[in-house]
Amino acid sequence: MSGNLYLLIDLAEGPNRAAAAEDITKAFAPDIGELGWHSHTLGLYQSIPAAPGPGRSYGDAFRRFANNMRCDRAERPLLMVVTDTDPGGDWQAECEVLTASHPTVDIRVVDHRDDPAGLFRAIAADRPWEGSFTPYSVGDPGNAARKVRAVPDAAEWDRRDTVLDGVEIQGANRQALLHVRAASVRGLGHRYAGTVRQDDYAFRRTPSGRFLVAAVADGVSNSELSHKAASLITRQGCELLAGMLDTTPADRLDWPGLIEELSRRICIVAQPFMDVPDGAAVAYREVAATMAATALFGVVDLQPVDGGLPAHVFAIGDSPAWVLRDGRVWKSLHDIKNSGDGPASSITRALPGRRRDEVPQEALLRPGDVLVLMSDGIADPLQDGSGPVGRFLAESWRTPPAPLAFAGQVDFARRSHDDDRTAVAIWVP
Amino acid sequence: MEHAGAKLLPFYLVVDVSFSMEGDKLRAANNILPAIVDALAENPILSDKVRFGLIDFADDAKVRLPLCDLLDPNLSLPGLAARGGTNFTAAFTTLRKEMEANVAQLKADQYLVHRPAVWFISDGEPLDAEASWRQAFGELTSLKAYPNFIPCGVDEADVKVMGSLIHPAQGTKMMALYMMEAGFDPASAITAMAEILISSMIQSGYSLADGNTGMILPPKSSLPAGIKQYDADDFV
Repeated sequence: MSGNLYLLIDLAEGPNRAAAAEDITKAFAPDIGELGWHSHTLGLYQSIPAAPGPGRSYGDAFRRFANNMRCDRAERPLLMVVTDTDPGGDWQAECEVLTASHPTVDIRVVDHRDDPAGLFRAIAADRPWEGSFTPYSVGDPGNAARKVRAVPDAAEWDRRDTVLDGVEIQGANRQALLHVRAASVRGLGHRYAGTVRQDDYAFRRTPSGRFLVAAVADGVSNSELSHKAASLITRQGCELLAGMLDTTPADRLDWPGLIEELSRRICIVAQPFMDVPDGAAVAYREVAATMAATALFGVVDLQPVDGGLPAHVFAIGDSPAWVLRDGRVWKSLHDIKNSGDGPASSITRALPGRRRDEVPQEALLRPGDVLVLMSDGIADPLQDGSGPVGRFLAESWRTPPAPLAFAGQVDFARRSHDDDRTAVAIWVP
Repeated sequence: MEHAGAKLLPFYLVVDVSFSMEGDKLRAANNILPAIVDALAENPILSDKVRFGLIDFADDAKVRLPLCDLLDPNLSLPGLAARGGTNFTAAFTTLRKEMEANVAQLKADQYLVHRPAVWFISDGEPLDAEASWRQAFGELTSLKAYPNFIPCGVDEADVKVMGSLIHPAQGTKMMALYMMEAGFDPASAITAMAEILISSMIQSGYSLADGNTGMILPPKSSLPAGIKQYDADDFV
């Protein structure tokens, strides 16, 4: 098993303890490496580490520990207090302060003559399970990631906070043709406010098996029921696309027709929530005040051409498609928003609506390429892919991660980025 | 690229520290930043996006707190002390230079900078030539990243002069003037204006988190006692 071990070694009064401390940490070293633990050593004295000090203050020591702990989001850190003196003095009061602020810390007191490393081995052996989870973050996670606790939406209670998938698309001999990872994660802003995730995704293989179709939609925040539009666009969009691909080649799909049909269906779903008579004609603009969402579709042709798989992408609004090449280089299939000068703007196009000047994009996916359909919750911090978020995701997605890890990576913490996040990633093996 | 794509909402508080502000008024003004810190501490989503700067002015204007994260644990808040007369030209010019430099730096750091908001508190009429401060104000508001300018007048501030500082003065995103009602306690009025600022900051910040742009001012019905709101078209 693995985790974080903090050694708090009593160095008060007397030089012999310094040598003892060194022996103790040495005694731990091989175990820590073998068991996959990370260790941090702290001294129990009043000032500087690695030298014995005069007084003994659990208050000071715990504050230093808590300071180290600030960035430690492991589930159950172990704090071993190594001392040959009964922890009296401020021990009780300071323990209460510490456990109040860090309730998951496992505190153990051990005499250094009682083989602390042996006790540590015993504790590790007593936890015969593997794995641990540390939330992902890129740079400063921000105050929100540290403080926000997720609140459910009372009205839209059946809308999940997080959804995820991990599947392999296989050929006739069960050989992998594509690996798919997908996750849609509620943003910190919505978790804090107790409102639903407005992003959504869907993917399916066409009945003939020839194509994989995938969709990502991002509900427009201002309209209360936008998550319903996002669900409709992704699910019904994939259905409609699969039907179209039965009779139409992928490079001649009727994208305006798809957009129009989805817009029509959104109007039907929205009508009961609007203050209009049944069957009355409603303008897209009026419907959009109730529900609206961006739409991004991707079609991957599983029949190779020139050693690659042809992909077709179509988007209305600011949910973009990217290709991650060689696990290193991010290539956008669209323009990047807000890259000009002047103050930032948030205007985006959405359904219900009509196609204006949007055109489908094509790419040939080579072995090792990853086609990633995403919402702006990821695209905004990703920017042009060359920054820390681009490097983080490129490294994490070099090969398909475990599905739960993928969802955790989509949910990475980064200061000021609190939007819903969705990614559908398609690997060509 | 370190901050690529992070949204940021800059606020500037510009406070008159001419001698007439001395005493309770300045004490009330000195309590504004701590109140904002408290509000940010309770609103973690917001606190990641909001930056604050403080400029004071009398005969000259000084940047007392460069645009910063008010929850930065290493920060110490400046105290304002009275000095000199009331010079609007100095205030607007220093604000413009500071804002231009900040916005350029933040954009170079790849932040998504939203339109800055300026809360301008004064208790008297400007002593410098009207042509001069009008020109300085014109230069400030003709910037590409011009600020949303919200004047707040207490005590002897002239409602017409302050009203002419509302910017934008028209359109869907027009700002407003907050004036102390005649006879109300000026120090309490400053405290009330801080409440309006905080309420506006919270609403605008969450609106920004929700993907909108634009400064939101609290509805007239929720104004604290002693404060009257004017729109620019109240002065035609």
